[in-house]
Amino acid sequence: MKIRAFWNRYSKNKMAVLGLILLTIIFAMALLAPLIAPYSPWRIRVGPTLTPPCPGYPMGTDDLGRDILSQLIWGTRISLVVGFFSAGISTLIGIFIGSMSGYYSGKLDKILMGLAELFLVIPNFVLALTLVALYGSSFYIIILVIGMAGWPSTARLVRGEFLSHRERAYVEGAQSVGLKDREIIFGEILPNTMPPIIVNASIGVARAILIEAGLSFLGAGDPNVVSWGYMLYNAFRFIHQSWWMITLPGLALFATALSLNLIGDGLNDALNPRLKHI
Amino acid sequence: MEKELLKVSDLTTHFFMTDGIVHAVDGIDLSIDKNKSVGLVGESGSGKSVTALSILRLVPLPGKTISGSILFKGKDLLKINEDEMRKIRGSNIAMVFQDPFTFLNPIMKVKNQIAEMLITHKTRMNITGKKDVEEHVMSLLNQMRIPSAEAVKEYYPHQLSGGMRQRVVLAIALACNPDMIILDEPTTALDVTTQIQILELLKQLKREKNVTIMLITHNLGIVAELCDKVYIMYAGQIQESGNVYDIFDDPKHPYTSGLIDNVLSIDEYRPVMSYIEGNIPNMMNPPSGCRFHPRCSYTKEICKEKRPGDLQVGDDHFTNCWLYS
Amino acid sequence: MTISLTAGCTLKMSGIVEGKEIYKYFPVKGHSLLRRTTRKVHAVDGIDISIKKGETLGLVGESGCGKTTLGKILIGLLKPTSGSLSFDGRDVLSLDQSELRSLRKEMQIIFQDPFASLNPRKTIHTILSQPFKVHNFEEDINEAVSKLLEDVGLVPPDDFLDRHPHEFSGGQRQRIAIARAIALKPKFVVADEPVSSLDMSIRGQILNLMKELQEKQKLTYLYITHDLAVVRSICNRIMIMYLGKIMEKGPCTEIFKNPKHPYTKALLSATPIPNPRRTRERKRIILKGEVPSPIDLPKGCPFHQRCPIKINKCTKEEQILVEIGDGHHVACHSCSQG
Repeated sequence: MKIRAFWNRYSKNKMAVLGLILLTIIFAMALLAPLIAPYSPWRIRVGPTLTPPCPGYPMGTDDLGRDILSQLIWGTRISLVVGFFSAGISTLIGIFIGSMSGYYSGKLDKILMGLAELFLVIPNFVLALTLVALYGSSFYIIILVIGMAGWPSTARLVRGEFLSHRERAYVEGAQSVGLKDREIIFGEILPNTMPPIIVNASIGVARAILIEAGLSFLGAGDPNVVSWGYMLYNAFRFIHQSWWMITLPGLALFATALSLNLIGDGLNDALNPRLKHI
Repeated sequence: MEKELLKVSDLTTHFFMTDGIVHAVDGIDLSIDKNKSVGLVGESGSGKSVTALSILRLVPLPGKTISGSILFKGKDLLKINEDEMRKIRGSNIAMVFQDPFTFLNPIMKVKNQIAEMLITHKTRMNITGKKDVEEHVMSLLNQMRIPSAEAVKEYYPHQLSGGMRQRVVLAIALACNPDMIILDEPTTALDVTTQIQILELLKQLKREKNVTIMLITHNLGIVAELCDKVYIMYAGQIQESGNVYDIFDDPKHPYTSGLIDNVLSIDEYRPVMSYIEGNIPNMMNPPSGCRFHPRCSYTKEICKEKRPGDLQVGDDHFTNCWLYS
Repeated sequence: MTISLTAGCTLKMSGIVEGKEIYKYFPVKGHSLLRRTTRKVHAVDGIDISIKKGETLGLVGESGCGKTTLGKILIGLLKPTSGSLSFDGRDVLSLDQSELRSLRKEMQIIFQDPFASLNPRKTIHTILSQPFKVHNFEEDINEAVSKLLEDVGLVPPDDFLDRHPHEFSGGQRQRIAIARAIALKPKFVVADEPVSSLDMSIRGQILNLMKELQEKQKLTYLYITHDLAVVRSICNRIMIMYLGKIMEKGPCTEIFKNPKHPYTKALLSATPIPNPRRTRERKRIILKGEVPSPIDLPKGCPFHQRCPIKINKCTKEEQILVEIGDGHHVACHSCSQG
C-alpha cells in the first residue's frame, strides 16, 4: 500500500516517468547484451572500417572495423556497473562519516568535515585522475576511485540531516528509553533521513558514469573493457571524418545521465510530498 | 447608525484534497457589532481559523469558499473583485496571526514594515510624504506602548522579544485605523506575564481607537478576559453564541458546558478531572447532522440527521441544539 | 529510604530524587575565531530539589527559566555542570554509561509534543517494544505491548499496533508516549508540559490517565509547566522557577492561598481565569518588560529588574530560600523584611 501511494506521487511527474522508462531500456540493453548485440564488441573487421551508419551497421564501424552498435550495447554494462557501484561506495562512506559528524559534533565533526572539505576542494575529476595515475587504471580501481571522490557531498548532506534530527524529541525519547548511540544513529535517525540520501545517490550514479567516461576519454580508463568513454577516446582522432564514432556514444551518455537526473527529481518530489501536490 | 459591522451568513468553505473533501466550515452565521470584541472559540479542526481566512478571502488552495455571504458595511465581500478586496484588507479589516516571528519580514526594519502598510493604503490615509509616514510610525509605536520607540523602530525582528514583536504586528495591523482587526491566537506563543500585557493593551486600544475585535482562540481564559460576545465552534459548525457572561455562567449546548465545566482554573481545586469522551472528528468524513452527536450524552436520533437551527435561549443567547426546541 | 540530619537538627526524610546545588551552564558560542566562552547561558543556577516518593511536584516557570533543563538533568538526559544528584539513594552522576542505561528503567520522561517525541517512521508496535527489547524483558513482548495499550486506554490494541504516529490524533499520540514511558514500570516520571499542546476537551482525559497510573503504579511525578491552572488541581507541592533559580516553593494549596514572592503573585495575577466575572474583577499586577535572557544575569536577585517591591538589597545580594512556615519557602529580601 505504501508502494502504491509512492507510485501515485512519483507518476505525477511525467518527466520522471520518462526517466524511469529510459533507464529501464538501458538496463534491458545491459542485461540482454549477449542476445541483442549483432557482433562481439571486440571483433575487428566485421565490416569495412570507418563506415557511416547504414543498413548492415546501424551505427557504423570504427577505425578497426568494429561494430559501434555492439560496442554501445556492451558498454551499457560498464557504465551501469561503474555508476551504481561507485555511487554505492560514496553513499556508504558518506552515510558513515556524515552520521558520526552530525550526531557527535564537536572535535570529531571538525576533523571529519575538514577531511571532507579537503576532498571537495580538489575537483572531483582531477582527484580521480590523480588516484588513477597513482594506483593504475584497472576497472575495479576506477570504481573505488570514483567512489572515494564522491563521498564528501553525501557526507555533508547526511551531516546536515543528522544535525537537524538530533535535536528532535524522538531522539531524546529514544535516549530516555535507553538505546545505545549506535542503535539511535542507524535505527532511529537514519531511516528518517533516507529520502534526500536516495535522491543524492541517484544523481551520484549519473555523476559517476560521467566521470568514468571522462577518465576513459583521457586515456586513463581501463583499456580492457569496452566503455563509452573508451569509445570516445578512440574516436577522438577521427572526429572530423567519422561523426558517428563520437556522437553516438556521447548521446548514450547523455541519455543515461538525463534519465538518472529525471529519476532523482521524481524521487525528490515523491519522497518529500509537499502540500501543493494535494 | 448601523450597529452591525460584519454579518456572515451561511458561510461554507471546503478544502478539495486528492483523497477527499475537508468540510472545514459548514454553514455558519456570525454577527459582529461595531466596537465590540467577539470571540470565536474552538479546538483544533473547529474551522475557526479558516473562518477568519474566509472573511479576508485568503483561504489557501485547495480551499474554496463555496457558499454564503459576508456583509461588511453593506458590501458582500464574496462578491466584490480582487482589487476592491485588496483595498479592504489591511485598511478596513486587518489580521494578526499567531506567530509574530514568521509574520514579520526578517530583513526589514520595524519602521519600514509599518511604513509599508501605510504606503500601500496611502490614499486612504492621506499620506503626503516621508515625514508623514515617519510621524505615523512613531505615533503607532507609542500607542502600542513600546518603550524606547525611537530605538526600537530601527531594530530588526530578531532583535525583539516575543511580546515586542506582537506589539509591532499590532502596530502594522492598526496602522490604517481599520474598522476591525481579526486576531488568531495572538498570545499563544507568549509567556503568561507577557500575555497579560498584550491583553491589557488590546482592551485599551479597543477603548481608544473604537476598533472592533474578532478574537480567535481555544483559550477560554483570554475569552473571559477580553470578549463581549462569544461564538462556540465545533467541527465547522457554530454550536452556541451569546454574551460572554451568559455563555460562562449558563452554557446551554452540551459541548459548551463540557468545555466550561471541565476547564481548569487557578481558583478551583479539582481532585477528579472530568472530561468529554471521544475525539475530535475527522473533517473529511464528519458525523452527520450535529457533528458533536457521537460525543454527546444527550444525543437523540434526530441529532444524527439534522440540526434545528439557532434557537433562542436567552437575551441574545442562541444555541443550535435539539435539547432546547 | 535514607534519613539525613540537616544543620538545623530537623529530621528530614530524603526523597526519591535528591538534587543539591545543581548548576547547568551552556556556553554561548562566540562568533570570532578566538574562542570566547566567558558568556554563558545560566539555565539552572543553583537549585536544591527533593521529590518525595509518590508525590506530584510541580515545577512552574515561564520560557527560559530552565525548568525543562532541570527536568532532563534529573532523569539523566543531561549532565549538570556541577552539583549532586541521587536517585533512590544512588549517586546518579557517578554511574557509567551502562549503569545509567539500566537506571533508565526506573525514570522516564513524557515530552510536550507527542508528535515530535515518537519516531514518525516506526510503527506503534516497534516504538512500544523498544523499551522491552533494550532492557531484555523476559516475558512475551507482544503481550506486554498489548497490555500497555490497554493500560492507557487505547483499545482494542490491534487497531493501533501496525500504524504510524501521524495517523493518530494528538491525544492518542500522547497516550502512546505515556505508554512508552511506563512500559518498564518506572518509579519516577518527568512530565514536560504533557497537555499544553492538546485540545482542551482532551486535556482532562490525559491528566486523568496520569492520575490513575500514578495510583496504580505508585509513580512519582515531576510536572513541568507554565500553566498554573493545571498545577492547582494535580500537584501536591510546587516550585516556582525564574531564570534558573527557585523563587518560592511549598505545598500547593498554601502557595495558591498565600503567595508571598512578587513573581508568584504576578504569575497568578496574569493567569486568566476562565470566567468573565471572576477574572475581570481582580486587581492585576502587570510586570514591566519581559523575561530577560538567561545569558547576562543581573547582580543580586534575577527578578529585581521587573519587581514591583524591590529594595536596595535586591540589586546587590543574591536572595536565599527562607522557610516561612510549614514547608513554605520564599527567596526574597523584600518579603523577609516586611
